[in-house]
Amino acid sequence: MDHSVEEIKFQEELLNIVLNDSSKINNLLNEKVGPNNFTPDLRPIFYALFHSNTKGVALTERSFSDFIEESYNNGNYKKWIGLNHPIVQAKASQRSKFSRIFLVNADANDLPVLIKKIKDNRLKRNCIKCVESFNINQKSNFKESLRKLSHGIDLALSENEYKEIISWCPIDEIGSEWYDKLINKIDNPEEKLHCSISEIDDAMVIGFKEGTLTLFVADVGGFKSTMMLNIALNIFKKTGESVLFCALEMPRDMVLQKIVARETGISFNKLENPIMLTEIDRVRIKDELKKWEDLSQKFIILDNEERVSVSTIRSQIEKYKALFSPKVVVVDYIANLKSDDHYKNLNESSQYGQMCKDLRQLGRKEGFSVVSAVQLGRDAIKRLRNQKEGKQTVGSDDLRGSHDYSADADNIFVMVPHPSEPDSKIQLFCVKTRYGSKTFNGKNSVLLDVYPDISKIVSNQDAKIVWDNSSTDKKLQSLSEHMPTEEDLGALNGVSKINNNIGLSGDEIFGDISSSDKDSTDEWSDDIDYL
Amino acid sequence: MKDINNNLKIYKYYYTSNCEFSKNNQCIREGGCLCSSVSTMYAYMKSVLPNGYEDYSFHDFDGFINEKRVLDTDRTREVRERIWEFCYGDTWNSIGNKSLLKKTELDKLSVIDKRFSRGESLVIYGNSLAINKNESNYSKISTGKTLIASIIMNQVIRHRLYRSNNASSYDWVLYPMLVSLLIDYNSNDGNSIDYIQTWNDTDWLVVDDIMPPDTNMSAKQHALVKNRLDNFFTHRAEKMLPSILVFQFDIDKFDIAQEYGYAISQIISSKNTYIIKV
Repeated sequence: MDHSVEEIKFQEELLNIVLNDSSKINNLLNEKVGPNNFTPDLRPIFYALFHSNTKGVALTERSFSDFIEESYNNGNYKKWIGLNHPIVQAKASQRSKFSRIFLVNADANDLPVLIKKIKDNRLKRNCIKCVESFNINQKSNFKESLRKLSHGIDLALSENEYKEIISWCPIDEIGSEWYDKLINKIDNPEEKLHCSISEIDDAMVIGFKEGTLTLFVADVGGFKSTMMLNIALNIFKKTGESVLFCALEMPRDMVLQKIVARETGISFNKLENPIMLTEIDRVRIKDELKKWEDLSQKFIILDNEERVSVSTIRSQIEKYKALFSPKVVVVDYIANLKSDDHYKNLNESSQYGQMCKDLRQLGRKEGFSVVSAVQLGRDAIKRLRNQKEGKQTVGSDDLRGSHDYSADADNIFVMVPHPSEPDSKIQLFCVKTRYGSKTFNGKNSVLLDVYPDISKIVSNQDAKIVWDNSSTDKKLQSLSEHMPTEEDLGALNGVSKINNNIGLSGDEIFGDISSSDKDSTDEWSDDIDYL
Repeated sequence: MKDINNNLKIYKYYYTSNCEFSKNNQCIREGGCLCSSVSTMYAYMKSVLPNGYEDYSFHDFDGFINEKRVLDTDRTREVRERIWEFCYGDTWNSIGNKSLLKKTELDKLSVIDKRFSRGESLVIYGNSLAINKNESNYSKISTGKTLIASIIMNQVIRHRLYRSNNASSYDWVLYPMLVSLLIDYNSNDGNSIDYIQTWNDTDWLVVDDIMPPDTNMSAKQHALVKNRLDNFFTHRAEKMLPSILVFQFDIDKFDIAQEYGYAISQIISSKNTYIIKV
């Protein structure tokens, strides 16, 4: 159903008010007025107004023209308009629209009235569409059509106000629709969202699918935040999807510092003491920051001065929904959330359970996967480290604070620093995966490499000999033939330089290499009788 | 379990300093990081094996210790054959001049992975103690048992380089320390609990310096020690974790079940256990 002339007039007046006072865009967002409330050829102006508002400036004709060109080049323009104009025509058409709106003589005091009219018009349009669809389809399947009509009207109403939506899905009726989607996947395979840590991806099978909750469990200082940040950044950089990182554990600048450390390879220590940065380091940092500006997907850090609840996160996501749709939302971490009013009187473990449920449901509604973390009890950590071969278990009472975590999470991974290499290796166990396998190629756990000084976690990269005569095999065989001697290690750069570079004292480097008391140098003597 | 971090840092620095693939503290080599693999292997050898025993291989068992002959040639040959069989299976006769084989060529013959998957333990024993005719005390004589255990463990740790390897933890403990910590285990001593629980599940564990029965121990203490040893080694046997036990005396002359408990006696008599008498 097309927008009527009167509707278009209201929309233009509304846009005129916002053009003259860019702060009014927040009124629109708070009232859930988004681009879909406007006719397609006015949507670019809406998006441009929002974009300039985020930059803190008013929208001018020049900035609008630049915005249209950029949107055309990145494909957004075509998505908004629904037509494939050549760029010259697109720019001319939008310039004309902009001028027209600029000249509209709207009164800012009419803003609430205009918002209401636009929302009501959209509601009416959507409901009429549902009824038209019913009229067409009810002849072939009356019951199904009636069900869809009711559902469609509920959905239309919920866009005006928050309302729980439930669907009634008899399997005999939805089976054929599911089958069509299944067959469609053969020709159009679904792109799974992978985090590029193959051990995690393989265990999860379906990827970081919308509506799922994945938890990482570890002791204090067990790399929980580092793991979540690595997953978020891998998805952001390698899949081109947007990510929201709710930094409840660390301030924004610390998160940013970790990101820069990981992406540039410059240690956290150097970034914390910038006097140590070389000119090359500074160039590397600037180059990395520049790369982020050129990306179409966004990595947003939600920074908070006070504790936030799931509702706060929800409202922020809904507020910016039109312009930012994360595929993954990281909450660092659940125990840092504040309870919402409707369950704050429950006991602590039940509160966490409700948070998990709400986050999952939010993910289902808004189309993202949730990643978060939980602390593990010490006894459980020791037990996990010592149990072997499929006998490792985590019960609900092992996750500190909630019995509900195990039930509500789709995937639970436990991380334990490797006992012999705690600074460079993590043992990863999968204790729950709703759709995949809890083992890693038959093994109970896998090792991941961790670089704490640059906040990086990757799959274990140690080369192995596989007897295929490859260069890796040959090189490893060559290196393993002779163990470096003390002289070799000392001669590399002098002991003091090794000392400075790796932070160990001379005694720590070489230890006491006096002969052991084993196999003593007693003389072989004929005077000795054996027992 | 031994913390290899300090040694790992040293070896990693040694290898990465000369590596073209080491950039910004990371490895950019396609096909995996060579430096990390060999550094970790050598760090384990340096951390786990006794001082001075880190780099011994089959070739180093020749009947001499510190340039003094401790075994005659026939006995040396017999022991070498046993070491070979444990490490390289039934290939003693099919390989000619074994001294020409490099370490990696020996690795190709290795059956250590199979030994580990079957939980096959190793017992090394032989007289190390003698009464000096002129005095009435014991003197400890080297016969190479610790050397043999080191050679085996060196081979075991080398297997970290191979894709087929399934073992990841290694430790070396002296028997008196093991007993002392086992006695303290139930007294809620955090330290002993940590060590015992770790050793319980260490993939390859060497227990060295198992001395003849202590005749000064009270019956009550003796029963306690036997009980704890039984629990410890039964746990390992159930999980099919191989143990390398080094006895400093001739075990044929003692009732091991009576003196050390049923579990150790079972390890010795098991058909899954390999025996090397020195």
